[in-house]
Amino acid sequence: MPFLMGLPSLGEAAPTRPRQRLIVMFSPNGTIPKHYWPDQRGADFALKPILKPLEPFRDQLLVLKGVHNSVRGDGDSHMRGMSCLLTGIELFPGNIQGGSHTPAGWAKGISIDQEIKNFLQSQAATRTRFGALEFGVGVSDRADPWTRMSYAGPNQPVAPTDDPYLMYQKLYGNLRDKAALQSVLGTLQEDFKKLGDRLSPADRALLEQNAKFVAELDAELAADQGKKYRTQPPALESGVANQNDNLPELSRMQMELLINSFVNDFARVATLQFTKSVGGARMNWLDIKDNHHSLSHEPDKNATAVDKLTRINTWFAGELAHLAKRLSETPEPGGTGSMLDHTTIVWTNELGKGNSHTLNDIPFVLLGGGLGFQTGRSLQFKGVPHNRLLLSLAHAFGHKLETFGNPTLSKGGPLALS
Amino acid sequence: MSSFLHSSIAVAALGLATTAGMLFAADRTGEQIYRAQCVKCHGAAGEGTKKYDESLTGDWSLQKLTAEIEKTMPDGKAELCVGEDAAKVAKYIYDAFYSPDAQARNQPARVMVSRLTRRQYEESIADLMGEFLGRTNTFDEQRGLTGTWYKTRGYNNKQKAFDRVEGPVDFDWGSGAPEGEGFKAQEFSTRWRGSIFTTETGTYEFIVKTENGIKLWVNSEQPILDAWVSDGQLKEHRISLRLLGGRAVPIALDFFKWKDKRASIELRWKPPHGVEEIIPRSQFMPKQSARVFTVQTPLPPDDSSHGFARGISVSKAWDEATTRGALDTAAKVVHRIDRLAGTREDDPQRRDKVRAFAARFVAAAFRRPLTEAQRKVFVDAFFANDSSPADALKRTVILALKSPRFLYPDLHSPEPDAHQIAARLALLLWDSVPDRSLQVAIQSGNLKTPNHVRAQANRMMRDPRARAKLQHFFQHWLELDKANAIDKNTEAFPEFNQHVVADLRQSLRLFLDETMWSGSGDYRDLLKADHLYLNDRLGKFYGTEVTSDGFEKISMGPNRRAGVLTHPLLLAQFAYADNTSPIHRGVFLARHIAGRTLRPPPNAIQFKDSEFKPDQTMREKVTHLTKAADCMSCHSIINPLGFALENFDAIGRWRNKEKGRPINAASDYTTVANTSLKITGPRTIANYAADSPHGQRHFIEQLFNHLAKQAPGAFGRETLDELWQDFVKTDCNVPRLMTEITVRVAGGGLTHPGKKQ
Repeated sequence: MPFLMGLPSLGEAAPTRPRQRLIVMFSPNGTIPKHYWPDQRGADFALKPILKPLEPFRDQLLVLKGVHNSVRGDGDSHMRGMSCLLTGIELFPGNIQGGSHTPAGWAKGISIDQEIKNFLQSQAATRTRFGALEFGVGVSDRADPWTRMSYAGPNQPVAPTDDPYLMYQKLYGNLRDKAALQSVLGTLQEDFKKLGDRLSPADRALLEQNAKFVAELDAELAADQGKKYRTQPPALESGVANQNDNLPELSRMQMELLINSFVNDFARVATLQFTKSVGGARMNWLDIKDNHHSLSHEPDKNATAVDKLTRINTWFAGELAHLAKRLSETPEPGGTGSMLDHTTIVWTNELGKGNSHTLNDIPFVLLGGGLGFQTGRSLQFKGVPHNRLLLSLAHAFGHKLETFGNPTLSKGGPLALS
Repeated sequence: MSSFLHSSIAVAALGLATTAGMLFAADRTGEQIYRAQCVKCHGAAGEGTKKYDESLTGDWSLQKLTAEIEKTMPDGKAELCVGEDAAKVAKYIYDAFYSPDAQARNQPARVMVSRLTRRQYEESIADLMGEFLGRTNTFDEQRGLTGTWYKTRGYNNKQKAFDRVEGPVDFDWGSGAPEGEGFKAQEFSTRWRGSIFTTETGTYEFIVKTENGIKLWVNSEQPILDAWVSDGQLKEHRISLRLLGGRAVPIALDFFKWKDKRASIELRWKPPHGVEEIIPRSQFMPKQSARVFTVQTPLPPDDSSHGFARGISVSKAWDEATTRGALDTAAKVVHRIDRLAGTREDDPQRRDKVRAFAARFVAAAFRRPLTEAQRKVFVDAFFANDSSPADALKRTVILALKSPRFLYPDLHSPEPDAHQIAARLALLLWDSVPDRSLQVAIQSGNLKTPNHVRAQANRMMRDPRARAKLQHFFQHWLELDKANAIDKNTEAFPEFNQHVVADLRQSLRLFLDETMWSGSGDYRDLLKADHLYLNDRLGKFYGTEVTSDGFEKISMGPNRRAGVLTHPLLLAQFAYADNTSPIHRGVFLARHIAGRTLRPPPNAIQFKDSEFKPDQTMREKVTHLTKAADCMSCHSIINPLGFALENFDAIGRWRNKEKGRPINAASDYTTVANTSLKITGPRTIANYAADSPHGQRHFIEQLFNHLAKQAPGAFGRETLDELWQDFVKTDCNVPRLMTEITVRVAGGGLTHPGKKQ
């Protein structure tokens, strides 16, 4: 019998699933379809300019054309494009006015990232410190249906953190505080001694009592140091201001924090939101002085605009490629292969195309092996509601939802991607 | 009647105790009698023994002590010590250790090293930050918020309708629009700006009720409520935060409507000890004040075993709380690093500027400039390695705020220098750290003489923080800080709800503030005034019609009311749920107003109303319950004081009869000086406490304790007497007394130029 000690009881053993993770990466204002969608379907396809940076990961790519955001109701396309993107459900009627259409409020339901997080957190085997982490890059500090794609429930938007230092504080704040605290305690104890020596014994007793607590704190902190994380927090460059021109740097900082938090298994789900729906980044680093959103309104015949928008979207693809590269370089902790083998990144957008504001053909690219989909393919659906894709994500985690968001739009169940 | 069954009170029994001494001889001295008959229980010097651990000290007159020994001592064998023996032993006990004089001689009070109290800690941190980030120390007279109204939702100046000072924020437009100025129902918006006055330190809940879009800021950089997006349903948005009392903190509220079916907005709050209500206009000031940095985790309560809070003990919980406070503050400092250090991210001098700021911060926390050596240890050491300026600053701040130099503000320097004097001034009057004006005074050599100190104290008395501290003293003096919720039997007092209690708190606060700062400032008026501040709701309870909107000062007649003694809040607080409690009222009056020392009761006797005959009055019940001789040693003091208030029912309303029988409020009371006082009602007690040296000195002592967190005797035995003489000469002016106490303590050791030490 001693041999069996420590082994899971055979009768009750749940099948251990390999660790799975999901990242949803968002970039705004639609794409340039002709420079984005591969012409071919199946395994044999050529990447167009925008997706070219993903060439090294072609085997782990799944390009999904023909997936529509079919949610209707209140709110303009940018609002619904954003707040229905991961929720698959209508917005409440409300007081926020878009450029057209009726005003609207927050989404009426939970988003898929939070749904999967809740599912993972409900089981001991997949429970992590945070469950999900919401990263942002240059989101702006407004809270409205254009800036929020994650929802904890109806009327409950989840704000992404677009300041890497704040995210660092959230992930490692305790650790840093402890280090800072510990570093001053030696000096403090000496000072207590020095000042106490000047006092009468009666008065000194109080200071000695106080000093004793300081010594206890010191001992507690020392004991705490034994509990190490799997990896140390990344060394962030200090003083990078949260502003437009720093977006490339901020993006990389957030990615390092994201990967770091995965290594330490703080979360299995993450979102990475570049700006917001209608985002107006000025990509000076690409020598593009225009506001991204304004550019996206330009007609197709404006070749300069099309070129700039292609470069902007290619830049986002490059960021995705970098994230994939960093994940592929990181060995899966305690497992086999790389972290990318255990992670699926979904790159998406609130619109299919900027100047038409269409919610059809939402650019969906999946990258990585986390969800066990059959990758290395370009698929073209015939206008399926994106609710079915959201269902596929949940099912891949073993969360067999029958519908997600609007039930009517869930008809047909998850898309077969495996 | 169930509340009666749960009500219990402790009835004090006798403080003197048993002794088994048997020998006696007519020619023995008092001391010999004590050694023979008393020492076994009371100890060699009256310090008590294991069997009876109360020390033999008190404030009875020699006559009263003699009579008590004659009657009750030795315990159970009182006949062993009577007549001349009782007189001799009483005289010995009285002179050797019992009397207040003997106590002071045997155990001269000393200035004890103490840490910051909870209030001192919170106020110090707030003002330390305020000194660097900006602080508002004057309040305008104007009340209300500035509302800026727009005809559209975008705060577009071209669409601005008007500005006006208004309040409260309480509007219901239904499906319509605000009147006039061409507002339309479809869209409009308002921004309210200003400050809000806090009452007590504690947790405040803010509530915005609306079906439209809002953002609310209270003492914050970021909105504490962001409900900009709305689905048109009426909602209550709630948030709690901790605020310091007696301050003004900035408040801002943005509102807009766009196509919602209805529009309305209410700005409500629930202050500590208060009820949820629409914030009245009187709580607002249109002027925007600076934010007050407030540590959000409260510290554990302080030692109050001597009747006032002071920092003479530390605990693990306290140490942990100061660690959290240091970390919170360090985070805030780092968050504002460039503003505080007057630098920018890309400033090549940034590291040096941050280091220079760090040194200024530490000096402010230590309340004195750093020596070269100290600067090396407390600041430079952290900037020496290659850590980032932010990290080095963080460490510096944590160390400073955990340091005994910050936490123990008065570690004796034998000769107080100007820095020490400034530190004491700030602690005495504000519970806080020196401000810029004090720094300037130090630097220009203007904080050296008693006149300098007095000039500063006078200036500092005009700061709202001095008023807040005096108000805090009153809370303690009147035991408002100890009071549990006042809950009355709803059958007996159907409309006496928490709104009435909140109004009463406000009424008492107004009375104290007005008497001190607008009225005479005279201690005697606190006890003798015959008016109450009543609003419409209170007027209905207390038998007067109030016609104005807010509180009105209404004279109730000298036979009906006597200052704080008969304020309905206190009468209700010291009473049962459905009846009066002469014992609770009497104990309060004895300890706080009449200046008597009462021992804790060794035996707790439960007051069970059901054990009495239904037609007995409360006075009869209490008299019966406390009639035993060993009860009466204290209850001979307590009962007459408590009975004097029997004309006021459990919620402080006047009554002539109880159970159909006329109230008897009269008793004979024996004073500390062993004179007899014929009490006919509260006014007798008020006059006695207001006009007698004993009552006045007792008040002075309580205020002294509260301000200095030390006993007056620690500053010389003549301290109390000299303060009293000045008090009498200056019409018992309390703010003046506050200044005098401060000057005496802060400038301790200073002499007038030319005068010999």
